[in-house]
Amino acid sequence: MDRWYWCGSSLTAGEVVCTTANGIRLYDGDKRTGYDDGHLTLTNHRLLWRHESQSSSLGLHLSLVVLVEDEAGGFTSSPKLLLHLAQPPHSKPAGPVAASSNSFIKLSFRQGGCSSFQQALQNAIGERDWEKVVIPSLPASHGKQSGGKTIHTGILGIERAIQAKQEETNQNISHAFEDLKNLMGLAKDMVFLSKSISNKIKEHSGEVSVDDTTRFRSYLLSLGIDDPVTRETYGSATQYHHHLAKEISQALEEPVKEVGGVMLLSEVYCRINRARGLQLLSPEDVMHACHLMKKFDLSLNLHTFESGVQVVQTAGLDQDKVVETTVETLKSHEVDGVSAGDLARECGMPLLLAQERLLQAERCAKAVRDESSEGLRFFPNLFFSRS
Amino acid sequence: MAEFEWPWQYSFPPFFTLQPNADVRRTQLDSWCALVVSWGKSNSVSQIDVTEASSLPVFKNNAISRALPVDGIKVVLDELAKRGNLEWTDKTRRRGYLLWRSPSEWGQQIYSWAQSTSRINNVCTLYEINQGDESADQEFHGLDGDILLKALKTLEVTGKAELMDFGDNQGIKFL
Repeated sequence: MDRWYWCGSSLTAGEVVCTTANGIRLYDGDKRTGYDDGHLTLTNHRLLWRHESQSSSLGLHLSLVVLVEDEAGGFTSSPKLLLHLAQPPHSKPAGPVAASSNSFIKLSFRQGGCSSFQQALQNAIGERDWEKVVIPSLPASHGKQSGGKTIHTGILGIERAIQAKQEETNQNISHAFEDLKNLMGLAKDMVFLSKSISNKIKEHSGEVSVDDTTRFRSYLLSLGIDDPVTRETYGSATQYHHHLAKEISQALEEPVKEVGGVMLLSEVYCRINRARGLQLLSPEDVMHACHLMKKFDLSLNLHTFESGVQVVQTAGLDQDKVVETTVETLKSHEVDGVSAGDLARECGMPLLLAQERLLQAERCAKAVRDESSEGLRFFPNLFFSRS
Repeated sequence: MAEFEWPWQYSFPPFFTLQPNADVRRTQLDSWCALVVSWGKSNSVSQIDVTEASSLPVFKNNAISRALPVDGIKVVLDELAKRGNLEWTDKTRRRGYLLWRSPSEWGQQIYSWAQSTSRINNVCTLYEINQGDESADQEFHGLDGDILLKALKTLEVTGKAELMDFGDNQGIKFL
């Protein structure tokens, strides 16, 4: 019922009256309304309903009609037409009912003429005359037409809509990549510029003012590592990895200490690449570099657990102390044990690392395992401490 | 009979998981053997069947919902057999006698009982020994027949007794 709107009885341009009927009552869904005994006019654009006592009509645009069904009359009921309606367009002139939960209306033909009216209605809908009208100065109802149009083009219309959406997405993506390309281009210039300036600073430290130098330094710092080690600068692979190892241990010494002296290799990889910004490293290069750390006696070194998990840890890390802290945690959970997840949560370390800690404690006979349906938990080794 | 007192390990969940660490495992198996033997003694269990063992309360603690898995039970029983506390009755190792005292120890006990009740040079039936009223206060009262026979055979070997057959009944003469 909310699709009806108030309008005048005059016809718009290109609108032709098809048929009329009298004594029509409007239904909102299955519910009878007060709009009774009216005069119904079918044009090639609209349905118009008007009561004799009223000056304005109720209009319903045909583009909203999805399906027409007839409902045979009985002894006590007159024959009806059931009109399934599409969603009303957003901008629509005011109607008698603002909102209705029903998506269909009924027209009750109390004075006959139902079947002939249905015929004419279906013809009018089939003709789609309202689409043919192309006049720039259309009344407000035209807004509804375009809204209704997309809905009523069937499968082809849906396909078209999908295609249009895809094209739009493609365009958006290429736009986004264009931006990235620009950024990369700019960054290249930036790096080049920074290099030339840093060379200049090295060569004649007098020419550039102190202010400029400090400002420039701060720019570089916000970018991450100011002079990343690249394969191009060092010819041989071993040289490259050697310098890379130095760079990694310098850049990550502090972060590794912050997280308790041990960092997963995967995290090292992410951190170093984030610090480098654009000169990204491959996982292999990071691993090779980390393998070299021990050889050059750097502040960090690579440690491989028995399970194959690789971590980077500070050179001075005391394994006994690590076990000791794990045991401390275990002791505070003597009754119900500790799972790798518990330890990870409690100590704020990655799950993988927590598991390694527990297995390490087990190898040192400081922890014992409990395998049950609840999963693997660890307890302090009471076998040794209690008996 | 007094309520069997479970050791602390019995309510320690990791006790029911065989520990991978060799040192820890040895200690754990020690505890298991001690538990099974003392439990068998307290409940007069003389035979253990591997397939039924998992339903025995000694291998299952419902209070903490932990049970030693079948593999674990086998390891424990094998360990018991290695220590002489268990004797397999068949080659497939499905059943065995739980010997919380070795047959010769039993033999010694029975012999000293026989001495104290002046049965030397007398003949008595096996029923008298493990079921009779006169042995009611002895530890071997209610002892499994097969184990009793084993014990008496050790006495026979050392020349302290002589086994006799009376058709379907058996007797022994202490020397």
